[in-house]
Amino acid sequence: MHLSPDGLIRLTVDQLLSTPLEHLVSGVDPEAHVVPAACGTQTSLSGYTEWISTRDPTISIGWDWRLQTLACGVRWVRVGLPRSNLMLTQDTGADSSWHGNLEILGTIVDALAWREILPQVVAARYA
Amino acid sequence: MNTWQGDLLGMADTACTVGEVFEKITHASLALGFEFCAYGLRLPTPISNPRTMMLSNYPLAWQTRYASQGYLAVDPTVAHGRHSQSPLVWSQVAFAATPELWDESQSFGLRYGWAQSSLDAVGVGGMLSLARSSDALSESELATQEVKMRWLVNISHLALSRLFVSELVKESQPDLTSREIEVLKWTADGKSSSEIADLLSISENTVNFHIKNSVAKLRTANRTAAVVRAAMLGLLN
Repeated sequence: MHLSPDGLIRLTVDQLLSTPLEHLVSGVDPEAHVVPAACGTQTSLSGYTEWISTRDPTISIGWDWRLQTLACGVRWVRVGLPRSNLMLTQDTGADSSWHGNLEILGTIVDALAWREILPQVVAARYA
Repeated sequence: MNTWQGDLLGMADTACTVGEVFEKITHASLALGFEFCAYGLRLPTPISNPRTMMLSNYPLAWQTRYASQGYLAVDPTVAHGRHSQSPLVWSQVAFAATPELWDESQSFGLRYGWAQSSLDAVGVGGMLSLARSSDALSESELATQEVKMRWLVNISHLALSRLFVSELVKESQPDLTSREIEVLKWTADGKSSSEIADLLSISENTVNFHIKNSVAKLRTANRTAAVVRAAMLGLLN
């Protein structure tokens, strides 16, 4: 794992899945606070989060999320593609396309335990 | 040499059968240290009896026993997966309410296991179980391997749900017009045809025309079933 001259860190999916990532920061979108509350109105909550590696060079992956209301409760879902300084390489060693890179990163983001910790993190920050 | 991750990602670019996808999942499970794996997929419709699909390389005798005893209905890992997408490590405690299921699965070599469910935007639920006959899952193994196992859950769900759901979504998604969706949304909110007509400044006959078309396009029996199906397919979001 090294920082390339173009500013991107190149590594394989296996290397990324083997790299410990930890939560750096999360926040709630400010728009959520200005929506006037009304009786019977469904709560809308969205925000962002960023996770980083604990080793140098620092990998950064950030993404947006929203709280989705289901009949059986709520769940936290990723919105759109992540943002990152990573370029995932294929088994051949070639770069993925940038969009393909972000799509694969999305599947890895969905495998991180961010849904488990986000409720506590957000609650602690805005308590 | 291709990695198991590369093999799984390659499924997105090639037309695979269900059998080919499951073979790759089995290969990935083995690479993660589990000789057994099973994947269950549950489609959101029909509501009264959702379609389910099970893939497994468990011993055939155990698959038969599991089905004949109706263990799916009482399996605590399945129950956990229905309300939580956090992983569950198999344990005697987790199976406390079904000791016969625990004892029997142990006798078939399914001694140590891990399971996680997934749920996508169109309401398709899935669950991957990984199991082996020896070596309990340690804290250190989970610390280094669990992200890979969770990723396998996601990729498996994406690949298999695409195969099963594409037809389901294709049946209805492209055909509904924005007006039909709008009318269905108001119907979902409990509005009558005449109320929707007032809200949209169109005639009641036109509202009923849109509802009738939606019912036909969604292949449902009536407006209530059409609203439920459209909602579960995520068309009303």
